[in-house]
Amino acid sequence: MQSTLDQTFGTNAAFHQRIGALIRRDRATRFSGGAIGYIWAYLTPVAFIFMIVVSFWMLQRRPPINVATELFVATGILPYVLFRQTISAMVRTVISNRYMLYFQPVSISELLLASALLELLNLIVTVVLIFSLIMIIFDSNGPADTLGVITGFVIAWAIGVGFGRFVSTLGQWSDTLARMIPLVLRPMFWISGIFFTATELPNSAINILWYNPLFHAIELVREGFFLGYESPISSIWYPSAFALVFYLASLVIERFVVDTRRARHRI
Amino acid sequence: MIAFQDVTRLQRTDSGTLVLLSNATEQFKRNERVGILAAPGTGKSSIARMLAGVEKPDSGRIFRQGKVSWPIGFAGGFHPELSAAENITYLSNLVGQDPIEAISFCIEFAGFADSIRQKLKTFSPGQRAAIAYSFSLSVACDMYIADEVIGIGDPEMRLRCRAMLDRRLEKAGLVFLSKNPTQLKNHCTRFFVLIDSKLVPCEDMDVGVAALALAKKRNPTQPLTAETRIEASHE
Repeated sequence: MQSTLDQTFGTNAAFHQRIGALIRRDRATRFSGGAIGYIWAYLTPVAFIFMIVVSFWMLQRRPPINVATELFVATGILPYVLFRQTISAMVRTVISNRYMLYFQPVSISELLLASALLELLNLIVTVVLIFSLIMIIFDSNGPADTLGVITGFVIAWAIGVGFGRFVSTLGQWSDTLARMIPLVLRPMFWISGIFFTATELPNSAINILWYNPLFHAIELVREGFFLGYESPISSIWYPSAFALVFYLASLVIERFVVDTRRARHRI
Repeated sequence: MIAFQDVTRLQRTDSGTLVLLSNATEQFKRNERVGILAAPGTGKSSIARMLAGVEKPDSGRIFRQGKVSWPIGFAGGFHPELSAAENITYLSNLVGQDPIEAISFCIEFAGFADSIRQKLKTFSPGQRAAIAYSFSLSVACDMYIADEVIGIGDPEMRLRCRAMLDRRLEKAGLVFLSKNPTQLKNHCTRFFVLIDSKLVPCEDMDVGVAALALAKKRNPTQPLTAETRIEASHE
């Protein structure tokens, strides 16, 4: 008791310590209560892949490129999961962790950063786990270009962070907008090339779907993974610019929401 | 030190906008024990959150120097599915103090050596309050903020709270907001009363109590709640 009473005053935890503490606390509480707890974070994508592989098998669909179905589905679903869960986590954290703001100088931006980083860490574990499992069980080849695969995943994450921060900020302002987000994002599952590749599409479809930034991220992962595969929708710059624009827009909206005191949950 | 400069705080409700605090300019220093008397529902918690830096004012500026506590006893950061020790560990990391020392501080202060590894949801509300209270005093701050809660538990526990708070206040300041003049008198040396959303300084607490009673009589539009009636009958 003596030592804490005599410690020096006026010191707060450093920025990286606060982010680390928020991540660890979020990890510990997100799946708390259930029997298998945090394993859910890794199990959800596995279940996702399993269900889609089964549906491919039942529909007797073959992947459009000559690779194992499991691997094809994994390269599509994992960037999608990263994108989608980053957005959900960033929208959720400003509500579920709002009491952390009592521990100044924790800010909303720090809550958002912590949840985005946690999603990235989760997915790194999931990706390594799933790809190693598939390669061991089905005796598939590893990625042809590891750096290309990483680039695709990082871009999927960046889109999630940029767009997630944008909708999270909008959600602090308007309940209606917050509730619309999942509805608006629902089609992303079907139009981002999880079940198909850009090379299968007619030109008219390519011209439209080119504007879907997640499609680029998924095709970048596939170009990196499958030797010789080239997609017409695999720009690095378009999705990066998309992420950046939404990220910057979120900063502007945040200023507006803070300055005009429009936040729904006052803090 | 905490300084308010022309601080106004509004509260938007369904029936219009209330002014909780209007153009307050005041300084609370590290060597002071400030007591603010306010009727229930007039904005104590909002002012406490602004002092603690959690909320921003609608206009004006707030300056904070040194480390300022959250409202003493605040339990919102504690998660029911985590153990008491886990809760203290994560929050200690967040505020920058050694978790092991914080846990031993809380055990020594509030007991619970046996149940510190139990999930918080198994604790009684009183035990949870004791953990939240002891955790807020485990952090060495330059300014402590108290929003109604200044001590907890039975009379014996309250004496322990008092003793520990006094030790902390040897090197720190206090701003205590309450509707209870006796508590304010017990803990503070400089007094204010919140009347018509103004922070009015008063020489001693009795003046403040009289001023608040007068303001209530003069302002019949402000309905008396059950709590204020009880308070008025005590006076």
